[in-house]
Amino acid sequence: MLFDFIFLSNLLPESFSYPQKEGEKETGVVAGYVIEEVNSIFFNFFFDPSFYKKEQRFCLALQSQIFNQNPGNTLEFFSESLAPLLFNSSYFTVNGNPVIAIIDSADHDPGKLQVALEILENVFRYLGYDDFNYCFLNGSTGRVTNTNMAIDVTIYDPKSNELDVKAWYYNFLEECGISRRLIFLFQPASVAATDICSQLMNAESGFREKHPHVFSLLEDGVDFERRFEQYEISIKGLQKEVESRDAYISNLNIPETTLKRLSDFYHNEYEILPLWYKRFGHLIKVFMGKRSFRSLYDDKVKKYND
Amino acid sequence: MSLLVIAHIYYPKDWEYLFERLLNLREYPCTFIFNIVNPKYDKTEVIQFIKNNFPGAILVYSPNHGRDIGGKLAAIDVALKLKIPSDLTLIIHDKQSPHTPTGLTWRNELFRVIEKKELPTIFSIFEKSEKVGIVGSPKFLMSEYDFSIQQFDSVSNDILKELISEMNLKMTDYNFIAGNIFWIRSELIMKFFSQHSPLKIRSRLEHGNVLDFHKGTYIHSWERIFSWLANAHGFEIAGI
Repeated sequence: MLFDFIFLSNLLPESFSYPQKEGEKETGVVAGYVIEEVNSIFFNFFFDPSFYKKEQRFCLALQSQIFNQNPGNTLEFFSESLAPLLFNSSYFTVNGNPVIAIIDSADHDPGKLQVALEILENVFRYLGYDDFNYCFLNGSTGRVTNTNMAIDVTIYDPKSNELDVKAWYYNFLEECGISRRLIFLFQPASVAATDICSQLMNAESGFREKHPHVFSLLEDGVDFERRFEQYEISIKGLQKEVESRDAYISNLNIPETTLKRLSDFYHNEYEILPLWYKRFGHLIKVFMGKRSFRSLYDDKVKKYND
Repeated sequence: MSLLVIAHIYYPKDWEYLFERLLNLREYPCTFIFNIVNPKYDKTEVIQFIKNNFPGAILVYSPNHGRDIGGKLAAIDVALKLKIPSDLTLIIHDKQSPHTPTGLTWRNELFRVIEKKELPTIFSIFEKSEKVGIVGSPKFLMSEYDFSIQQFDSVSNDILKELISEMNLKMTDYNFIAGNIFWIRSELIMKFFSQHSPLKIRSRLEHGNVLDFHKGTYIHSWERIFSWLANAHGFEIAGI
């Protein structure tokens, strides 16, 4: 599909299974696990080697009340619980940074959302991240209430939308403009992810047939933005590499460096020896077969054996 | 003996030297955990190589925090939480040490622990000598501790003392393998890090590529403590 879709569904071991067949084109679907509580189901599901080895992209959508359930040791609790997921190579990222969604509670208390954001900022810092992407979603209004993401974010929730997913997506394609989008789709429990995928693809096919040039432009635009993202990631990486090399180089001229220690070691172990002793050492090298005899008096021949 | 490999991959190039040797371990029952520094630049090639040559390997992407020590701690945390069973653990990284002219010689010597011809000897040492907790290159086995003044000849002296006290480490010597590449009995790693959270330790490490030329660091202190886990639990370090 054109855009990155995150299918949000409650965490149950069998809650999301999108059987990607061998050779099938990447659909762009990301499994969005809605977490109401960090409990034994959570640990059994995510701390399982077989889950870790799956290549299906996924991300977390935390219910906002989750941050009030474990007063006290909050930072360590969330860091310990979330780290193996965020470190999972299949965790969904944008611009190289993990994406995490927070689903707003019905009472929509801005104070609670602020608490949630502060906890997450501390958790990501604790885990060593420079940055992360967050999206606060309000399913009932179908709105993104707060996000720091550089790409446009959209929500589709069948409960708050009169149109079915196919019709909604078709309209969306007509109106979205040429830019990359991230779409959070609340998946009804009764509908399989594969069925929703096929409806979305049908909508794209219908749109492509009716507006082939616009669709082609959309494809090019999204492809361009994905490549641009990769270039931005590469630039950040190269900047870090340059900083790192600068740090190494600046250390070369400092007296305490290894080079200075090496030079001191050479001076103390060899250079201060008397000349006759050093020359005798060269003769020993010849006897040991490490140096050619001729090189003792002829600078033009090969000195040492490899 | 079942094996666990904790391998930290940082450099985007020149990773073949490590991986060519790690392939030697495929003939043993071995779980590979590769911690790849959160790909800030393209690591498609190395990731594809891992997927092709180490099927079933666990790939961990963690941010560049705490250099190789931080990466190894992130991978150990995953191993603990996923309850990966093993008898021996290889602690290794794609060492290059560009800050020192002897970096590659250092690496080549440390990497002897994954040379095909050395592996049977190493496993035999562990099987025959119950007291051996770590096997690594003896050339880089060193101690900075001066018992007469009870100080470490290291800029990290204060941090080392702080951590020894905090972790309640009781040791009879302070030998460590400089470079932090060796085989260790898994029980030592698992026992210690079940009591001391790897993530908590990692959170205190310095960010980015820190060197210890001018002042002590938690990163370089933990490099030493990894080796001390043997002595602290009544085991010895053996060289090959």
